[in-house]
Amino acid sequence: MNNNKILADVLLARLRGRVSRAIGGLILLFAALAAGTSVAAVDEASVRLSQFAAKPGPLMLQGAAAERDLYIPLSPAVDMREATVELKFSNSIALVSGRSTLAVRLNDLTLAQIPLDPKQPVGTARVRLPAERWKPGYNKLSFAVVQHVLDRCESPGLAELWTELDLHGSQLHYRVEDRDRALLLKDVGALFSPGIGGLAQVRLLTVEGAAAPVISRALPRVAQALALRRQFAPLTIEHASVPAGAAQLPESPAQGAQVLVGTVDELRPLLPAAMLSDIKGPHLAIERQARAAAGPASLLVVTGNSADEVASAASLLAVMDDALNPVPRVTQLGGERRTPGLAQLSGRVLGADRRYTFATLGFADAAFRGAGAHTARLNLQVPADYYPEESAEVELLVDLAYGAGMGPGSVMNVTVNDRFVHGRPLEDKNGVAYRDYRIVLPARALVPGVNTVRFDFSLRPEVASGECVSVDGDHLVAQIGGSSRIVMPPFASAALQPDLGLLRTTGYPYFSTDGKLEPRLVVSSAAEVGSALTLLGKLAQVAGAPQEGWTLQVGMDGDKLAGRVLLLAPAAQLPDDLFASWSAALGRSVSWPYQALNDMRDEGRAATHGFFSVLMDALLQGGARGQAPGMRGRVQQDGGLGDLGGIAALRNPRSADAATLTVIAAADADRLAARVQDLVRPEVWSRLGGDLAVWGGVDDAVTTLRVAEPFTAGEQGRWTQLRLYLTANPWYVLLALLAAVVLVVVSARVLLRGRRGRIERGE
Amino acid sequence: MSGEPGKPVPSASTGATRVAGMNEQLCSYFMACGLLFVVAVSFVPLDFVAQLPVAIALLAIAWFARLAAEGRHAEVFRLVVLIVCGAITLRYLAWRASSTLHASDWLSMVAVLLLFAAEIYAAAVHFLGMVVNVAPYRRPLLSLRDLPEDTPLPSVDVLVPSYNEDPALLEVTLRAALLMRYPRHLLRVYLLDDGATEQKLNSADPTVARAARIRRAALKALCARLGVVYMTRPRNERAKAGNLNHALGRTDGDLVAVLDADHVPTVDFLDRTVPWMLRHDDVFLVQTPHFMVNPDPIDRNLLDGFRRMPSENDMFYRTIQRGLDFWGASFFCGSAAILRRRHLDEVGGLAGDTITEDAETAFELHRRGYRSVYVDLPLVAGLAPETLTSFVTQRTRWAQGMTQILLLKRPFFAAGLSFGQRIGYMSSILFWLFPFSRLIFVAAPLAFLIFGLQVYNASVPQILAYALPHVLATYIVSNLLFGRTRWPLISELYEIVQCLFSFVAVCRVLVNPRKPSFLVTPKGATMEDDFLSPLAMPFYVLFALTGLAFLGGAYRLVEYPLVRGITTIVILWNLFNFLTVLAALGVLIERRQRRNVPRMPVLEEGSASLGEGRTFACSIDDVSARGARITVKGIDASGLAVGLRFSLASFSQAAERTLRLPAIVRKLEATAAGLIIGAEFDLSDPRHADDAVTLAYGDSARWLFFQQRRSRPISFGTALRMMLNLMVKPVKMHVEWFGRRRRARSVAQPVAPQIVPGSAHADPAP
Repeated sequence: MNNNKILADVLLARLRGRVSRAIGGLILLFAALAAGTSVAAVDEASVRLSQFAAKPGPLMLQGAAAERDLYIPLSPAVDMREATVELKFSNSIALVSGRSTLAVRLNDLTLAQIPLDPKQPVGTARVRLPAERWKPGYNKLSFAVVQHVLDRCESPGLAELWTELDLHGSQLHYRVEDRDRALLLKDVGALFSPGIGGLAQVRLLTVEGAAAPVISRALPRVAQALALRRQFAPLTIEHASVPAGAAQLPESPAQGAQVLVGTVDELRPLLPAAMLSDIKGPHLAIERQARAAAGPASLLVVTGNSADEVASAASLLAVMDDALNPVPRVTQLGGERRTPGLAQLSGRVLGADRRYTFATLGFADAAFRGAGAHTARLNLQVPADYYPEESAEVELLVDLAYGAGMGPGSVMNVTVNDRFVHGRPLEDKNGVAYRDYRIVLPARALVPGVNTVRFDFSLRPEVASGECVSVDGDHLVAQIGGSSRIVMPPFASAALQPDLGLLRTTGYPYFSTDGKLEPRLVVSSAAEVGSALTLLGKLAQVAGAPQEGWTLQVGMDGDKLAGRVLLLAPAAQLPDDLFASWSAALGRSVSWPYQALNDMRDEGRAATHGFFSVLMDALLQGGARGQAPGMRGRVQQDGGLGDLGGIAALRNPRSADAATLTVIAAADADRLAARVQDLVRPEVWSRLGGDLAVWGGVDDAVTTLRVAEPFTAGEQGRWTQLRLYLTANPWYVLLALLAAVVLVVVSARVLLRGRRGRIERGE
Repeated sequence: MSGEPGKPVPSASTGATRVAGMNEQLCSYFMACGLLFVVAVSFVPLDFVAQLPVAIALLAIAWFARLAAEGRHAEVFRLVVLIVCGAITLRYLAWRASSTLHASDWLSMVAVLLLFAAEIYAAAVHFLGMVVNVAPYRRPLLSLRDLPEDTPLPSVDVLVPSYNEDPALLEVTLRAALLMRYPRHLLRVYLLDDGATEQKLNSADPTVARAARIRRAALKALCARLGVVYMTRPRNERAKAGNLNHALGRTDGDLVAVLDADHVPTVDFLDRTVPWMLRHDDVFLVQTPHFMVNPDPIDRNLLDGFRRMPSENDMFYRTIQRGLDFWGASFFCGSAAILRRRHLDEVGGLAGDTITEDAETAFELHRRGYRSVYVDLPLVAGLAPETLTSFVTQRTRWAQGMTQILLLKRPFFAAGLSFGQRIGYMSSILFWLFPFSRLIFVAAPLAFLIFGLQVYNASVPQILAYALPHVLATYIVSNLLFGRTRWPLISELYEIVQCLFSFVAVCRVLVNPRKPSFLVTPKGATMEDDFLSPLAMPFYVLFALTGLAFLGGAYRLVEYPLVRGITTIVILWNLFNFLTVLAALGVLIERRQRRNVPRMPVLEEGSASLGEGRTFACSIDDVSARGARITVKGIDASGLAVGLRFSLASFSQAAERTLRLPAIVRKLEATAAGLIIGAEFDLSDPRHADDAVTLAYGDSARWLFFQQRRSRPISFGTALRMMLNLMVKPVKMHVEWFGRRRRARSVAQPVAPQIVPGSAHADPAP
């Protein structure tokens, strides 16, 4: 994500005095090159600790004893050679010197105890983190304080007991080295790990004149497969074409890898004969590739005897579990999909009318010991087009237990997306175990995308009287079992579009559980392919699973822009008619809905407030449209986008059905590539919303606007379509009823009169 | 106009009829399409934000149409109210069916489905009621005097079945029957005594045998004195139906008038009913309403509104029977009716498969294509049950009998009935299954508040968007159809009082439809003192449960904050049930009644002659066959004393002459309005006895006036205030009752209720 910065830091570090190490490394490198042997690549960098924190801001440690952890991922593909953490902190001037310390632990081993000096409240410390304590995967870096303000016993919650860690100012300096061993396919995940040492950049290579399906189907699948291995960290994807017949691959990018995609015939000049003879179907292979400088790189080969086999191999890369492939090459012999209508995403999101145990959702048994605050989190991924009935409910059937000796103030609070939903005091002195403790939530408390259910425990010991008498609370225990369950209600599939916020959190409408979905990635020229694949990779990351139906198309002619389309192009090349019915335009001329011309004070489309406000909305507006739009206007002008990038989502004017077109544009191809790089970074991505967003660099503000008329999309059945339509237009129901009433009344009157006449006549 | 050779030329009237018939067919088609469309639109799905404005608009239309239904084009607006409110109810049911029928455990699922079934039942009865009462028909009043003088009149046998009624009560009825305006040679009155059959006379129990002998002797003497035929039979078989059938086999009048022992006819009973038999040869029944001269136990013990609010059976006789009459489905109610013997003979007399033989007989004759007529004029005055026990006994029998008809006769599938008749019978029968729904409506909030069962899966906004409009719509319809004959919230009270016992009774019938035995309803009892009804305990249990539910509700409000809205609504629901049960507790203290012949309020003018030329104008305030209360103005009370004899005179419109009755002063009270004299008639002369009966019971106009005076609608708010004002009463009554009991125990005085057995009579079905 900040490899450029890391490189810069490396250079600076070398200038700051690590010349000997760098020179040594270079000597080794040159020697290795001279010897013709491969040399392990070395990566040295510094990162701010804030990059490993869940929330921005300093890390606060309050109370007599407090501990906070940061989790630092380390790629399994590298070994940590050296690591140092440079801390900047400040502490309360009320602390008692000699009794207040800050301990630094790595993977539960205390490495340093830093005294906290009230006379020097702002301090720095440098702590060496031994390389042997690091392990592949997540490493826990803990900061624990013990603080006192008095020389005798005191209340552990005094406000003076605090120490603050400046995570932005604190840095982790590290040096990692590639593991020098033959690459196997099981190392793909390690190579692209989001942790330190993981590859943040990759180049996809195809041969000029490659078969169309290689470009259109295989490349998107490869991009998604690799991005998903990065999990949350951005992956920069480049694309390059190798001249047909060329026998040598281009030099791999520094600290990157290359993926060669093509049919056997296309790649024949580039692949060794031994590999060629092994290719009997869709084929994946991985090997180290020698480089002139910067150590060997990785080469992944995705190939097959035909373009379809290449696409299949790319699919295999997306679905395979790396750990089950401790081999350098694999050929797919066959396979079956029993549910072709379901995309891989359906295996990750919660389904309608189904039950899941917490354990299957990644929530292992949670057991908490000791006094203090403890939290267990359950992440629920809900489909992007989640549309439950109003009265539907989600049930949590929790296997909950807590032990004896809980004191006053021991509670369990349950929040969903930081909204409180349930609380329970833990007040049974003998402890209690519940099976299927039922917590009912309104179904609409869950939002499309990832939802977090937190179980916050506050365990407090019984109150002991007497000076300096306390109960330490070690006996306190609370548990939530992984056998707890969540019961989802039935729900339909419908979502309001366009919505960049939904795109940001779920990838919708381009990623869904529908296996037959065929979204398109359209670029104006081959130069934008890399940016497009980078963006696609980001979308796959937020969705959490690949969408196999993607096709990549170069050029905007014909009907390529019909359907669900993600379009990347320089602004000048965008067709003008795309934005004809929209309040903004990103084409040769731009149209901006300036704030001065538009009343953007939109309360949103959903009824989120009290009943009577909803009632008034419904009476005045007659439906779920929310407030009628206020002032609207735009200015059309030339001048272009300058350095800005823009992303706009709108109803696709080229489609008869309700489909979303998302356009990403910048002034030219270079700026487009740069802006896409910024877009996929958390600083920009996290601020997407509305249906139009414009941004400059990473550190610039992101402007978001909502200018388009909403429409509904989703795989909803006819009943849901009818429901949505009539909810938006309830007066049709009333008129229909009144028409029927008139018909019945007129007919009935005639009939009743006839009958009365017959009675009177005595018939 | 020429036609084909050999074929009759169609007449213009036939052609007009055919055109009218085609128009009606077309209208039927359009109406069916319209109704289908209403049903279809009612089922379209809407989120509550859209449902709310639709419901509010429909309610507004219904409300304005309701107001307009009192003026011009009333018929049209009436239909608008019914259809619009029906659509609101249909939307509610569709929403319930599609969105709320789910539960997390099987027990809750059972509760959910039971509650929904109860709502479906209530809606079905509601819809049937709408059809039945869409156009209540009021027939013109006919009179024998309007017929040509030489019109041959049919002979009439008046049958008065009796079981153990007091001879004094029987005498009044028999006298009134003899006084009916009809040629004497064509009128015969029979007393059918089932209390002194041979079987009873020969009973192994000497007490029973002795009582039967005494009874037979007394009634024979009474009949001989009055000129009435005494009849009994060998065995008590098939209760009242058997008694009547036995008499039918031994009488031969063209028409049969059936009068219960306590149903005193007015002088114009036959004058108003026989013409319908003459007008149409295929009419098998002319039914008139049962007008009660005393309040039922609920009215007497709690409501105390006999003079100012519609009686409980006014809804049936003043509205529903007229609606049934429109559809040709008004049925025999066991008394206050005349039937054509020829038609009865076709079906073997009164039917006996069920214990409501009256409705069953009418059903059989309707199936054969014969017609019934309902004359909406009170022509008999009867007695309502005096005690809660007798009231409940009566109603459970009706419930059982109607359920038997449903199971054994299956009216909706029976051949020979018109569509309107099927609807009419089903409406009348299904009503009696109300105990199921009423108990479920009481139990549902308890299930949620006490046991935490999810009985109603909806959010508060959904309830306000769907359920509340439905409740309001049913209120609007009830107000439209029954506003004048049934005040709001009264139905719920009567249902709560009956539901526990009717539920058990109906369940027995469901298990074995042929098993229920005929239970006679005691009538004419007197109660020397207030006492606690023996039926009290179940109501105390229900009261305790509904009270306990509030505690459960409070607990749930605290423990389950997320569902506070729905909990609040259920608590309000329970509050409604609680208040209704609390009101029902007020019925449990049976108030004393020392008169076995109630006095009816009247507004008659008369004169009191005190002798020596002293005659004073007076107003007659109330009167019975035994006495009267009069108010005399401008009289010098000196010289008046208890025991003084005087003569009371009043012109009787019914008898078309002045009635003069000797009377004895029994009570004197000077008030600002005048001197109130309580008088007892001296009936030693049989002619005076006849005049007393004529004065007290002979005038149908008086009954009509009394009915119409109390037939007035009140708003829901007024009804609610009235009911809330009654809430204190049951508590007060119970405190007083238990206080008196404790005091009585402390002085060792008996406090057992002193009920003087009056009569037991099998009442006709409603």
